[in-house]
Formats: sequence, structure tokens, C-alpha cells
Amino acid sequence: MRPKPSAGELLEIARKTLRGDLLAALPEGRRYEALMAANAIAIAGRVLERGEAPEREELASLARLMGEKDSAIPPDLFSPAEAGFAKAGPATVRERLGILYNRLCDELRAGKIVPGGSRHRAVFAHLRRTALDRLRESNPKALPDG
Amino acid sequence: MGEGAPEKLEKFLSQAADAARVRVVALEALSGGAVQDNRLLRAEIEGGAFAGKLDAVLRMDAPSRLPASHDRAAEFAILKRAHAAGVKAPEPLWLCADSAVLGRPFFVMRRIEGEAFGHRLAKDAAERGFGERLVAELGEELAKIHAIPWAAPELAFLTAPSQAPARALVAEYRDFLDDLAEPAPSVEWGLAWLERNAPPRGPLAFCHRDFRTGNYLVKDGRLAAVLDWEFAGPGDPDEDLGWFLAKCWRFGRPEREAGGIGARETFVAAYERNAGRAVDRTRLGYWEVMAHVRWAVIALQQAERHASGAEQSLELALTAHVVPELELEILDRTRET
Repeated sequence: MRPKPSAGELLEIARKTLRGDLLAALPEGRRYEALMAANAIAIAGRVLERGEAPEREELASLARLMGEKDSAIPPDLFSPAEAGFAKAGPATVRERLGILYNRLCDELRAGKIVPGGSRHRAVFAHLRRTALDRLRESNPKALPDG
Repeated sequence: MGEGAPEKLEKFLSQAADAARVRVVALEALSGGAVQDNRLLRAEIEGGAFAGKLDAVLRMDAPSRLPASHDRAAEFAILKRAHAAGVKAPEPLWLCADSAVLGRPFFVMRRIEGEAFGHRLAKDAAERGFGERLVAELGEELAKIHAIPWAAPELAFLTAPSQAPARALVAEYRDFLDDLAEPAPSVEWGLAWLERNAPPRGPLAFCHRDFRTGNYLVKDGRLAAVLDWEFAGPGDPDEDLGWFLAKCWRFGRPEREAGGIGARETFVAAYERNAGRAVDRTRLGYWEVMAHVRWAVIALQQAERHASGAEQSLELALTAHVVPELELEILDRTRET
């Protein structure tokens, strides 16, 4: 069993320390860097807390959008089944996202996704949901109201 | 900077300033500019036309470079042209193309006092009430920049787009995306919209291409200088207006649509009065989408400079995390459903 505090709690106390007395003790010219470091820690903390679920959900949504069967979605990466799955093709969620997004980008660039069609609406909905989800991690203060 | 750099720099400065002797008193990092490396340079010059104390900024190529940015020699030539045209810009002094002096090419320009930091300026403008006057000055200055004659032999490296400038930019940004390690579908979505809605080619102007809050100096509430000329070149003048007005450059004051400083109409009207052309306000929205797409592409390039190991930097690394906000803005402005 890993010791407490958890990774997330360590990041949080590191961020608080940096933003507290340490920041005040720094010369004016170096404070911006400390604030950037604190921000980087905060982003990492939010990503860690949310884990793999957001990218898995993104992949499930994208796979549907691109007409892929459920097999496009890898099982739990840390399960024993993963070893077998890896032989079938790209293993990680990230790699799968990359492949499917490359296909989507090709369609967009070829002008195949035009206003008025249901696919245009579906692609928009997926991209917007994903952008919102990333914003929750990268900069939650910028989330639109409601 | 390597061993013996101050001595080499002093030697270079003595020759460039035609001085008997130059003593470098200070050479310190200046904050700001993830793209370039700026240093405060203080020196004492004996003899020659520049005799006395020199208060300057030394601007050096960064270890890695964005594909769309000029190198220091080109930026120096542009700055000379802008300064000669009477635009408020730092006076360029000397160019050193020889990497042997400081490890990378650099140029020296006279330092101008003032505040450039976007958040502080936006706050100051609101609290001290100089925002409207300042954005009017900025509109006027942008009109002057657009009138800079760029068809000159020393600016022969500038190339005008052969097609509609908006279409040329769409093609350029697609090329940039192709060089990235991972796809950027929301940016591609924006580019498809920009292609479908591209305005036709009109008269070209000399565009600054990074004219926004954060890239100009303000002293006592007045515009002191326009900085960062590394992206300048001929293009559609509305591109600069859209870049300045875009929501991504308002530094926490989204209701002040002109750079987080003042009102949109104050800026555009001041530009019009001095540019001698009417601005189609409905078209500015197009260029604001272009601005978000461009910043997203640059942010992805910046992040990759860090991720690829070309240049490790906290600022570059964090730039990746401005992208989701840009994506959301791009999507919401191009919905059409």
C-alpha cells in the first residue's frame, strides 16, 4: 500500500507552499515563474484526479462518430487482457484517439463535413464536449457559465 | 552565454558604435517573449557618435524558432523601416549576424521605458481611466504601420500572397498542423470554416501580425512603442484588426473588446480616420476567428518545442493549456448548426 498523502494531495500541498510564503519571498522579477509553476502543478493535479475516464469517454464518442465498432476501444490498459489486445493494433487510448482524429481531420480538410448535414452537427457536438472537458482540466476559470 | 561573452560583446559593440571603448555594465534577462530571448543591456561608451551611457535591449534568436517568425536579421531590417517611417518603435542600432559573439545572432535596440505586461496594463487602464485614449492611439498607430512602404530592396525577403491572403493563411496553418505530432481536430474545424468563408483578395498592406496588448509599451497612459516585429509582412490589413480585437487577447477584461483596454468602436474608428479606408465591421468577426485559430496553431507549436525537447521551458509547456479555451471560442463562433 502506497503511503498517504496521495499523489494528488502532495501536489496540492506543493502548490500551496509555492503560492504562500515562498512567492512572497521571491524578488518581483521572479514571481511570474513561480505562479506558472503553481499553475502547472494545479493542472497536473486536476488531470490526475480525473484519471483516464475522460479520454476513454472521448474515445467511445469518437469511435461512434467515425463508425467504429466497440472494438476500437481498448479494455482496461492494466488488465491482463491488454497483452492480447495489443497484438491486434494500437494499444493505448491516446494512439487510438490519434488515428481516429487523423481520419476526422482528413474529412474536415477535404470539405466533406458541411453545414446543414447531421454529420456536421454530430462532429460539432463531439468537438465542443471534448473542448469543454479539456478546459475543466486546463483552465476551469474559463468555463462558460451554466 | 559562453565563456568570455562580455569581452566579445564589448568588442562587437566598440566596432559597431565606432567607439574607442565599450564597457558592458549590465546584461540581464528581461521577462516576456516566449519566442525570443530579450536582455537588458547597459553599457558605457567612450568616443564616437554614441559616446555616453547606453540603455538598450539585446534581442537574440531563441534556441528554437517558430516557422512563421523572421530571424533577427530580417526583423532588424523591418524595425529599421518601421522606425524610419515614423512608427512608434524602438530605434534599431546594430545587428550581429555572427553567432561567434554570443552563440546566436542578435540585434541591439534602444530601450524605451514603459509597461507591456497585459494584465497590469488592462488593470491600469480600467483604474486610471486612460483606456479609450490609449486604444484610439493604437488605432492611429496601426494605420501608420499599414502604410509602411514594404516594396523595398532591403525587405526583399517579404513575399506577398498570390491568392486571397485569408486562403494563403489557411494553407499555411494546415502545413503547420501537419508538422505537429498529434492531430488538432477543433482547429481543423475552424480552418474548414475559414476556408468556406474567406474574404476575397483586396488591397494589401504592411501588417504587423502580432499587434496586441502585451506587445506594446505604455508610459503614463500613452502609447510609447510597438514591439515584436518578427511576424510582420504584407497581408490583409483586417487581419491585424481582428488579432487586436480577439477575445483571447483581453487579459481578463472580456468586456473591453479592444485588447482588454477600451471599446471596440473607439479603436476601429480611430484606425479608419487615419487609414483613409472604411472597415467592414461584419468582416472583423471572420478575422477574430482567424486570430483564435492562429493563436491555437502557435500555442501547439510552442508546446511541441517543449515536448520534443527542442527547448525545455515551463512557459512553453503551459502554452498547451491555453488551447482548450481557444478551441471553445473557435467552435462557438463557427457553429452554423
